[in-house]
Amino acid sequence: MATDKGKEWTLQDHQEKVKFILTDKTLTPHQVTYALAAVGRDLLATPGMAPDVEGDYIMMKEKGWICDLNEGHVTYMPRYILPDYGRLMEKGSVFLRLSPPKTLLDAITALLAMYASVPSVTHFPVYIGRLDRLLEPYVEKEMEKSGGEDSSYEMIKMFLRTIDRTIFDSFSHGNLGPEDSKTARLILRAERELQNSTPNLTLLYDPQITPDELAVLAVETALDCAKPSFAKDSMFRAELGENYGIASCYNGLPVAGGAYTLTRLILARVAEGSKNKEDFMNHTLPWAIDTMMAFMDAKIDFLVKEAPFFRANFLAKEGFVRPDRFNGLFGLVGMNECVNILMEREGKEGRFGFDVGADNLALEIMDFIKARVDRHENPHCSYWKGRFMLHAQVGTDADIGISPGTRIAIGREIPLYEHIRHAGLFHKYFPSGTGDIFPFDSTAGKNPEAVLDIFKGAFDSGMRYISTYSKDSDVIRITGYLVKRSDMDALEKGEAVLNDTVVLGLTSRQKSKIEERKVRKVEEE
Amino acid sequence: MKENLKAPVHKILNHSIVDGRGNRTAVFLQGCNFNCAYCHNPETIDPMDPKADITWMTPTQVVNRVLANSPFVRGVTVSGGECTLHPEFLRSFFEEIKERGQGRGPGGGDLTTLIDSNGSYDFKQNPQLLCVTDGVLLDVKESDGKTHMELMGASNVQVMDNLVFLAKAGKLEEVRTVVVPNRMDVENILETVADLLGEYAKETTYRLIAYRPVGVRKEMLKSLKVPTKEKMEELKSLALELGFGKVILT
Repeated sequence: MATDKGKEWTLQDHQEKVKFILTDKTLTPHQVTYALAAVGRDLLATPGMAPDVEGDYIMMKEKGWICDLNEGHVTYMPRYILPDYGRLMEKGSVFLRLSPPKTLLDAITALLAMYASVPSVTHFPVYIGRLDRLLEPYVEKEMEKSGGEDSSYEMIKMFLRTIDRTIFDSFSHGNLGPEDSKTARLILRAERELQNSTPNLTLLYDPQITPDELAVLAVETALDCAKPSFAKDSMFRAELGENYGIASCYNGLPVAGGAYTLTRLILARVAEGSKNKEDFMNHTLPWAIDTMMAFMDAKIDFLVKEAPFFRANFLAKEGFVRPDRFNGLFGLVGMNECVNILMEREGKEGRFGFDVGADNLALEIMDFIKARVDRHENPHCSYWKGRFMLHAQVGTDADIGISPGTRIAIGREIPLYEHIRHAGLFHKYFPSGTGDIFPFDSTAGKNPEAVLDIFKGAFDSGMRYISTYSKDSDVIRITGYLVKRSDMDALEKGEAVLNDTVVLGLTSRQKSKIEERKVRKVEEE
Repeated sequence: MKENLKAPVHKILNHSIVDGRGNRTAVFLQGCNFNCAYCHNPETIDPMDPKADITWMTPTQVVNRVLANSPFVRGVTVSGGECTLHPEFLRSFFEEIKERGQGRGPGGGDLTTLIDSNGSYDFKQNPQLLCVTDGVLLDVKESDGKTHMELMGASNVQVMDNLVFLAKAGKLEEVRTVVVPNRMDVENILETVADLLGEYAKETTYRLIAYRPVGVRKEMLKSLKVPTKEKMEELKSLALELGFGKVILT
């Protein structure tokens, strides 16, 4: 029983939706296909939910308390998959009829072939591997053979360009570091030349391992084309183990694993639906948390037991992923607005980011959520000791007046160091991902060491993930993913664009003041 | 006594990326012994300006402000005005930064100390100050003495002396020249500086700052021209040809 705002959809409703999709001139053929697939999927109800809990879930979904992030009622494929691409390099793949690559050209084409068979909620791979570790042996061999770096650079550039033109989704994410390598430097150079929104990139940064020279190069690259972001490698490794990756927007997940599902609680809406803080903490919030976890349990159960992925898909059969390295992600957004609503209802003036009382309320809410989520057991989440992992969801184009995760709202930014320290209060709660964005004036390109100093300070202040871009770059970071300004302009004029994520970026630009994000100037008092 | 040692602080910028390498806290002191035509903050020239919003602060008070920005800043740059008008304050301030700033920088580094100066102070006479100074951002405003006097109202003899002395002492963090194309022969300045530095030129960073009328006194505006982008690029090429290790255009 598909419902939308209390009304059960009829066959005619579905037919009209299909016609709308088929006649939309801004959709490419692929985008039409994916939209039609979602229509089919949404004909099913979530199996295995008790009717009263399902009723609560539908009610909360319609009130906007809970959001399924385009997974619909049924998840038949893990939302995020992080294959162990190293296995492809070592052993090849039977299903893909690929033997272990021998040359750089062999390696990059093997990876491109494999990417086409890695699904996700976006239908494209959200993780394309630790590119420098995968390719460095081949790059070294090619450099030795050719006596220089030109041929390696060309191949790396063509590899990255092909990713952008065949993976139409900026949630596709590659990793670099923490160690220095020729490959990492070639990738950074190529990204500056290409100026593409895909792939997303993160430098797994450890100041004990990553030389400053590489880190500064990464900062310069980010100021030019909005990537790479920086992840605090030591923090992620301590929580997730050595073999982890950053996927999709900024999600820390195990390699050879991933996430079954990510569902999110829109805290601001739950607060709106609460009489006061007491009602929120004792009634609406725990009710919403429990309902969401029941929904997640049901979806994960279907995915593991009834959907064929873990039994039939080559990724599982050939050991590129293991079922015991998947987990459920409990997401949340809108902490800023939630706290402000509750403070107002309590008759208090303090606001999130500006008042210790308000910030302490946010921490109290986080501690409550964490404790309740940690008490819940899911039998398929052995990776995280039977619990769901908390995730600061990065927002969607539908979030008008709802800030991502625990971020301070755009337009309400506070002085730089205070802002970073504030972010650092919350990052510890989210091993599966959170992040903050600090764009700089383009003059920062002349002193990238300064931006690196700030990143180091940020990691020493509790942050785990930080991004930047300069206000003049064509590629910008929306909330976690990248989009080209020129693509958004084209789509706004009614032209079709290749990349699926542009429409999300455009809606965010129109409705969520993305371009009004505070640009940090060269000097600040 | 240290407690009685105070300096007139015009402004403190917690976050600056244009006052030396890395992210720094910049402290601006009131009062200057030059009177440059193109000065973009002329309100800092008169030490007794009644309109200036000055706070007299002890070294410890300023150190506390810098440390509050830990671990985001690599160090502190003192500028102005002309901060070398307060050499005892500077020395005391830097000594305390060295003492209390250990491990307080990004990634656990020690805080560094830079002076932004018009070069009028004889640094040779104050080895204790230099000892706690990691570098000097030296303004070489004009190599021609006559033009220097016309534009800045002061001699450049000490400046040129400092140029060589600081380079040899390993304390020349940066050489800076504001480019006003119609009032100075910048090519000549570059050639003279390169010549004086000799082998030290390749270790030297040269910052060429395009003159901008922002903040400049109204009566000076007519006689000062903004350099074109092409002119700045030409000067950069020349500077690199002359052997400077790094050339930055601002």
